[in-house]
Amino acid sequence: MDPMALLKQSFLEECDELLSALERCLQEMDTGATDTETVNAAFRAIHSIKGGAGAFGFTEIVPYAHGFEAALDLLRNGKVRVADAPLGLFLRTADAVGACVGAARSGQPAPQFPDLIEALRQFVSGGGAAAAAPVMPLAAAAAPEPPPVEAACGHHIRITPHDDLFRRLVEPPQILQSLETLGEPVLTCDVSAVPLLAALDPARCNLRFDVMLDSAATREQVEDVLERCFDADELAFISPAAPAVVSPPAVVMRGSADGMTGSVSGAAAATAGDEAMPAGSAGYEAAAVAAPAVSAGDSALAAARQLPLMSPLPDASGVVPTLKNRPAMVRTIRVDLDRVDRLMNLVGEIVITQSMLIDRSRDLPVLHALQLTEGIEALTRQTRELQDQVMAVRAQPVKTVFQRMPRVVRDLATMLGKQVRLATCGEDTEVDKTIIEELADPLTHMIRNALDHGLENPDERISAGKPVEGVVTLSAEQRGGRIVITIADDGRGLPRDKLLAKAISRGVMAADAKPSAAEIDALIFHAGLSTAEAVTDVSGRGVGMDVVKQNVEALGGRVTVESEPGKGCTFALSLPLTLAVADGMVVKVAGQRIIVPISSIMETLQIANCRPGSLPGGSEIVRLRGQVAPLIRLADLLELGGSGQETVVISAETDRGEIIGIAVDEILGQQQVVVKSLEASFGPVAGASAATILGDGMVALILDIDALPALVARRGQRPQPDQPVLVPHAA
Amino acid sequence: MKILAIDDTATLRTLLSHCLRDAGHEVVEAENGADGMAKFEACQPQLVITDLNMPVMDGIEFTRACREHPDGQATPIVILTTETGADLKSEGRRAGATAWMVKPFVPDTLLALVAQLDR
Repeated sequence: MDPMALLKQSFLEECDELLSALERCLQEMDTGATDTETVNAAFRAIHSIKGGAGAFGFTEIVPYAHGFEAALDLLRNGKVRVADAPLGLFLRTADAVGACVGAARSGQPAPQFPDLIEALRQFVSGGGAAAAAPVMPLAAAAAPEPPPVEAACGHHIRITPHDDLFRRLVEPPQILQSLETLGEPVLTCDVSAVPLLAALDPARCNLRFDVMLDSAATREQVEDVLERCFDADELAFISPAAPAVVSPPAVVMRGSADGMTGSVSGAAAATAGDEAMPAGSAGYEAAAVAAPAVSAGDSALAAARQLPLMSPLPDASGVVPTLKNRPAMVRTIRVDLDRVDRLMNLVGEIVITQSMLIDRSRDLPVLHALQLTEGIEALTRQTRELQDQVMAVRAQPVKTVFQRMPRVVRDLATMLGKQVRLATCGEDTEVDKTIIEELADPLTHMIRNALDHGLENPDERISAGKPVEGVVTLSAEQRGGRIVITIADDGRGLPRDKLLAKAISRGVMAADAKPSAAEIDALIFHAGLSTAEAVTDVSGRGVGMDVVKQNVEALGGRVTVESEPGKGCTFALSLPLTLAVADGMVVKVAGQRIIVPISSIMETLQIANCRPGSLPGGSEIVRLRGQVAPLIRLADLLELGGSGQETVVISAETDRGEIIGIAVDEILGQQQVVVKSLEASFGPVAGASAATILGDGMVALILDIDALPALVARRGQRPQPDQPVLVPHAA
Repeated sequence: MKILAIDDTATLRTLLSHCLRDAGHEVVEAENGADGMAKFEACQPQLVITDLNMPVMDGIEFTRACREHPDGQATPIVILTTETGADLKSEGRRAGATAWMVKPFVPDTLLALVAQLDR
């Protein structure tokens, strides 16, 4: 499946979710919920559907969504009370959108419900006046009043430009802009006619546009504007009231059914659907009274709803399963984590098989290889999606941990007599469930530390010219392939002199050592170096940050600290986002293949182009984008021998933001790799975060970019390595 | 923006120039399509506004010539005319005109269009 189709598919699934959320909201409103959050949630759902539908070219959904959104907006800004909302109309519109989504999924033409669009339009243009109209049963068609023809307040214009649009220098944004003088245009672009890249002529326009213009302007006014840049034959005004697919014979419906009392004056009335309608069914009668203009497809739908739901409905009438007859969606299920892990492992195995297939396809004759490649590319995308989905199953927003913190802060602030405000951001960042569970303790500990040690007493703060209220900021964000959680306070910063004194007295550091400020700060993670003068209830037994560090490292993460005396202190936890599959660049170093994680790579350059040089003392440097960075020859660092063959420099960024240049012999390619823990099966390997199995069954190391600078420093101090360096062999 | 205004009627040309200059644009005037092409080559305008019916070389011929010119493929061309015929308009479009505006023009509308075409 091509990526666009895949995207469309996932959008349609998203629509299902949004629709069920929408229906839930509507039901809540029906049962008396009047809070704005319910209305907002409904609004957001339909808004997302509208936006996506436009973007993915499901233009038939847009008019319903647009009308619905406008109607909900009236509720949202309080112009109409929730209690007065035409919930019947809303539910039917949700059904109509559901029907369109279903049709889009099965590739059927979308059913048409022009009366709905009209009813919504009337509701909106009447400022919610139509709300007073009786609420129709769900199974019924609803159109409060036949529309006065002049009252149309919107236009649907389909623009099918000649393919010389670009040569004429007409740019699609201009279309939108030129209409802004008249109202609020919503432009959707149909890209279905755009050919594949190989056949694409960028000078020819293959786009089609649908403009929904919410405006009181007359058609002539709209034409005037559009015809400045378009020929008349490029424009088509689509009448909202007339179904575009089948126009049923215009028959005036008479009161044949029992109980039909209202006068029916619509021109287009149900005919085909009439026959399918079970005669005299009470639900429909009530509807018919209020439904002067019902299109064929629509009444068929209304009728079909009354049929037993035993077999799939016929497609001929454009009827597709709707919300009502879809089985109620199960919202959540509890699944054993082991099962999910097993699923994840399977994804890993598939990734390995896939790289094997890619490897093998290289030996095929070109024509066959091409065909196979197409399939493999699709497979790659699907495995990626599969992996994302499995990860998503395990993902939870950090909110679950973050929301425990305000309480911790409040209690502690009271106890310490400090004024503290906790600011959080990025609570919706999602992290693997196992990580979430392990985060609570370290975070609580660090927050306590920040309050107890970091923030000064109110008096101290005042004399330091700071606001009395201290601020602790807790934030989470996704950066590259990692989640970074920071805990920052605006307190006094780490007491470097005390830390150093303590480290020396405990023999952690030599008395004559001249550590840098960052090195002193890092002592905070050393066991037994608490600097609190008195041990309090809160913290200060020196079993703190070292435990945090251990916990975080056990999760495959890192914790770093940055402190500025008098200004505050920031701890950053950097955790891996996914533990299973990563994107890697396969490079060759002294005959070995090594994987460099793509998430850390900024660019790759020819070695000659980054002017390598050396510093006194022997360390090498390169210039990357005007910045001087250390050059690490991987063959030397990992002691693979045969250095001097390097042709390429990979510019990479560590999680501390350091830029390093990594010299390798050759870049072989780029692929997904399954991350296999080394610790579990072999033992830690300096410079490697994990290993993987390549397509030919060989093991390759995954480079630990973030650990390289420290490794270089260590190697510099000790020429003889004390840790084994793994030389991969065939698996 | 530097705009080339082509019209054989001096008063209209002056009116057009005046209106554009008022809005802060730089205007180069030309009397017909051929003159327009010469001025186009000489001063490389960012936008051309041309009349349709002119002696020597009319607006559509000018548009065609301009689009064939190596420097003229990226310059928006607005045809400003009293003609409203769909056939003529189509011909203009096929020649490569970006927009079509009918005289007598409302200065604000023209300026809005000019602003739109300014990139």
